[in-house]
Amino acid sequence: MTAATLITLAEGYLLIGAITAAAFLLLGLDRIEPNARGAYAFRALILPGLILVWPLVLWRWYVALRGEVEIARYRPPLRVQDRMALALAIAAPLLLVTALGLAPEWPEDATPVLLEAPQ
Amino acid sequence: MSVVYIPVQWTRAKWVYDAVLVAFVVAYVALFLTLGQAAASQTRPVDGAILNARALGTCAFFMLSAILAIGPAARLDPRFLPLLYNRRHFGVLTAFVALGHAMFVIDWYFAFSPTPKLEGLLLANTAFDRLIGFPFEILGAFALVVLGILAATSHDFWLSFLGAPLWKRLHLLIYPAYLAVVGHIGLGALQSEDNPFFAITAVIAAGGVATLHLAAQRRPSPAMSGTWVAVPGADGIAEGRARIIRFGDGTRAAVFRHEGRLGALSNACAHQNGPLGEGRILDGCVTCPWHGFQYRLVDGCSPPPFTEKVPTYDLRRRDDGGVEIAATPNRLGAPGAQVGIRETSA
Repeated sequence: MTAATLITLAEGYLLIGAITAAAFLLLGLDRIEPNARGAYAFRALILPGLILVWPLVLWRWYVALRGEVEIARYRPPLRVQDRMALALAIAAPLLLVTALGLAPEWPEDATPVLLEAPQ
Repeated sequence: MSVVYIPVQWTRAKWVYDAVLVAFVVAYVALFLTLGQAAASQTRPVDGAILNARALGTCAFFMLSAILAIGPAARLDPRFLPLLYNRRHFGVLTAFVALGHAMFVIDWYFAFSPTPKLEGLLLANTAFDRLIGFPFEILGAFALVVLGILAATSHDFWLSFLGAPLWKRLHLLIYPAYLAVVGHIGLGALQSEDNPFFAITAVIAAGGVATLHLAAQRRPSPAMSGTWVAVPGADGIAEGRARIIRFGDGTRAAVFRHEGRLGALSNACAHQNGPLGEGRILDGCVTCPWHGFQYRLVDGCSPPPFTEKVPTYDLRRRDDGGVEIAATPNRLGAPGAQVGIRETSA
């Protein structure tokens, strides 16, 4: 996959996000979020997020419209968080020390070498 | 606890918090630009654009380190809780500082790229099979995208829309992002840096973050299984305070003492899943230590006009005098059975 293809895919993703965001702000937000009714200034702040995480937006919009699942707000992902924090605590210093160990060091008394221009 | 969303719920504390943050960024960048040129190697003087990029890049790294340190520090010592209160603004500002770093880098190093600048960034180095010379730019780009997503989803609307657990899972991306930033500077700038100052401060920052996270790892109380589980020392809970009970499925409840009675709520605040059991009762309501969201102990509902709810748990007194808590929460809004305090004899 070339760099140009990756960038085209990213642009396509953001374009779909922009369409999703517009549809959600116009058709979805007021129906599913009582606290948003009559509130308009905050919509500019959530617009970038709507574009960036549009798959999550579509999913939550769908769930909210069906109204069948109440979000279990009192079940935080503590175990996942603890494991990720532990992994970070081990990996971050290890990575940094390894990278510093790999950094090239040139001897102070290295003799300069005169390179000849290619013929 | 907004009734109608507004862009930012400003308070005096938030103004002060944000003013200190902005002052820090301005002072840091000014100091870096003043001292950075002089500290650069004589044989490799630094251009102005590179100095700007380095100033903002190092600033973003230290800010991100501080953000990651606040959580475990607050868990270890409640005096750090005020820093947690407005951490989202800290994160948004960090994302903008990191974006500034990226813009200076792209506009300088890829100014004359024969391909579009972003394409040039991706094509500049593809040596993914080695550590020395690894394309560290990709690590920085990944971290920047993550910081952007986290900043863009930081408004309270997202907590309500996604639900706190999903929102938290999304924001756990901060951990791989920080690791990517450490790789970005370790395999990038530090490989050719003659001055050891930044290497030393980077090790201190990353080491500090790691140490705090290790020190603050939750040491879980033994998981309680069964339909009803014991609440050890329930009658000894201090007035207005709680004891946290962990059930076999990993969920937690907080048993509070208030005005001669014991009542129980979920330990996770409905806002950001803050630990209610580490809070206390203020004005008759259980108050989250993170952002001050409040719930009535009797039914888990926020006082009107607010609408947040957490489930209650039933309590009962055993024949031998001990207190037990139901392992299954009540439906949202339903009152939980409470028990009276029995004063323990000395």
